[in-house]
Amino acid sequence: MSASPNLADLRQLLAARFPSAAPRLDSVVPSGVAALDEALGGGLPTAAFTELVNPTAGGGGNLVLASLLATTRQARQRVALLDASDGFAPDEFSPAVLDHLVWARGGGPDLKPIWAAADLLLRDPHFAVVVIDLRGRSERELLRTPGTTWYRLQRALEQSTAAGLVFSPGATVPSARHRFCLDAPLTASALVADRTDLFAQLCPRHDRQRVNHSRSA
Amino acid sequence: MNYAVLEIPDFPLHARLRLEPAGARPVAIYTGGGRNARLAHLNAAAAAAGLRPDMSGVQGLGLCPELLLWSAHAVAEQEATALLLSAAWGLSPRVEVTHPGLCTAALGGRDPAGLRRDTGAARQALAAQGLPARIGVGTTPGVARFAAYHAAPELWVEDSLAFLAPLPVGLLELTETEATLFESLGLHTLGALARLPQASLSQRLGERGARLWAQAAGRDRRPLQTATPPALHHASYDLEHPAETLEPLLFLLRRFVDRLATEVAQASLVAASVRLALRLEDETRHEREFRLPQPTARADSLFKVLEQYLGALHLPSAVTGLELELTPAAAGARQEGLFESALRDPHQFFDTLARVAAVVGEGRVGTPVRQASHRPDAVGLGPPPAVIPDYRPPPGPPETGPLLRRFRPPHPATVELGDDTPAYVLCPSARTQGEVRATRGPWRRDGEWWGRSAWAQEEWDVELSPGGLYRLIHTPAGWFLEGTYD
Repeated sequence: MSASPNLADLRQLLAARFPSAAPRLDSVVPSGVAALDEALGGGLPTAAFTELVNPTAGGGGNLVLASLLATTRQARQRVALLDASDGFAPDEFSPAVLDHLVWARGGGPDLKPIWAAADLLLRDPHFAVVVIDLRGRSERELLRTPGTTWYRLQRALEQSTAAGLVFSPGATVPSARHRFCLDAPLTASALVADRTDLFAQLCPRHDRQRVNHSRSA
Repeated sequence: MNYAVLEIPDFPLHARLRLEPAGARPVAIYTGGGRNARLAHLNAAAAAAGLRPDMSGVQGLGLCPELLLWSAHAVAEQEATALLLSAAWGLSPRVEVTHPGLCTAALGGRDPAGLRRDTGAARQALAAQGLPARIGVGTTPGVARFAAYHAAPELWVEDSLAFLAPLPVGLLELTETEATLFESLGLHTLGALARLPQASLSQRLGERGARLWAQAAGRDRRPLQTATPPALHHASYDLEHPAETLEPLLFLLRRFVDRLATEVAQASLVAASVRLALRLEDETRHEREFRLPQPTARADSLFKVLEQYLGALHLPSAVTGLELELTPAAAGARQEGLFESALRDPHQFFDTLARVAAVVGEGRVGTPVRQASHRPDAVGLGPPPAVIPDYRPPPGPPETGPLLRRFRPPHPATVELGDDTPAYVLCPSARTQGEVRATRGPWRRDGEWWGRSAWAQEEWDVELSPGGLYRLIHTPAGWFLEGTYD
């Protein structure tokens, strides 16, 4: 649904007068996963959260992460990975692929430090992508997190040029602009498949797309 | 204009207040000891309470019981002198510490417009450090000094004779004999002294008489004993009372950082690292050296490094003293490239990382670094590079398969074997169980067999019947789920 001309004019006027308060014009950071980039119009949108739900083990979340790390490494863009359950395995990657990565290791019993660290990382202008990996945490624990926490992080992200990517075990991020689900588990044949073929075979289901007002205006 | 004098009135008082602020409380610095203690320097609150210089300490406390009666503090005065010197070096490279709290700078060749701007900046810099300065500018060191004495807060003397003529002879720091002699001769002002023939004064008082006449006539020319910039940028302080909270330490560190950063910048250098040492009440020391992400002389950036570190630090006992040292380095100039991927603001970036480390734990933030070991999960964290290097694809065949997501620590599992291969896996802590649909392996790995940290394991990749790919390991301690392929 498009906004009325008066509303669009008003938004343009406000954006011109208060540029710091206005949502940023969209740009994207390609993830390197064809199906994901196509659904997102070129890549992960900046100044917004994209949520990748991984309800089952072996859904391919790590493949998305590996593809994103390879793509951003080639573009020499910095990536922050906030690893809530300390599951990231750098020894699975070639060291040359991780020069641009800042890995913050969580794993404690409480999620509060994760939200505080996310807030700090999202406000730093040096990161092109901030990945918050919540896999390995229980859905119940994540659902106990107040929605205001996510909206506060969303406000921080809106002021930055970074793209926010959240891996979660279940739908968790109320403010996510896009939500995808990776619910097709990999099989043993994937263990010997070429990794670039696996990237191409990933087919996340697009569950949610919220309208971006700055675009519709 | 050939000389400038920067003077901090009541120097011992302001030097000490700079490190130990007293707020609105009356403070006096005394000289002498015991019953002979006399008030020498008073702050505004003490003066308002009716105290006057030269009162005895007992009188002072009688009149104003809440008076803080302090002695002069040598370290505080050294710190303030270093700041005063730094400010004076902003006017000229030839600077003399004439007296505590008084520096003389030889200005030869400076244009007045630029000099006025610099004297203003020097006063502001000192005032920001709690040191109110007066500046006098004149044709000789003596004229500049008298000008500083009468400045409010700056005085430029164009006509030396006219300026000096009405000043009292007492300004010449006469001995008692000289004062009596001049009194008996009716010489009350410098003008009266200067009108005498210099030779007659020399005849009567010798070389001293000639020097007094030259000062009174504005003709005292002498070479300055110039100070040399410090080679070490170091500050040390012993606290009067052990500090158990962060605030007093941060206050002192801010003062030290301000002074040291000014010194380093004055020498056209930057700080490459900062060393902090804390002396503790239990007679131990806590030391830490900080390598700066980008060498800097910005006091704010240097202080932030210390503030963040101390904010997350827990010490076994109270702090009784501290030391701070900056290691200087030449400031590097770098041309930014068109496709530059260097950090736009390294201090902000590393500040963010330090804050994240304070939240998730020291040593848990950084760029992964592979360790020189074949042991699984042998990775550490290092500082992220300031510039992301060009990407070169790793050599070797194309990578295959999904990537492991580790369980740290691995989950203990119960495994049923069939034909020596895993047939059923039960792992309650990972909430996983099921029949094994497919397996790959085993891969046997071991290492460090020569030492106590020897390790060995057998790895299996398994697909379980409800779905999911896992890495199963068999070690001397039993079976474990090491992670999931995702």
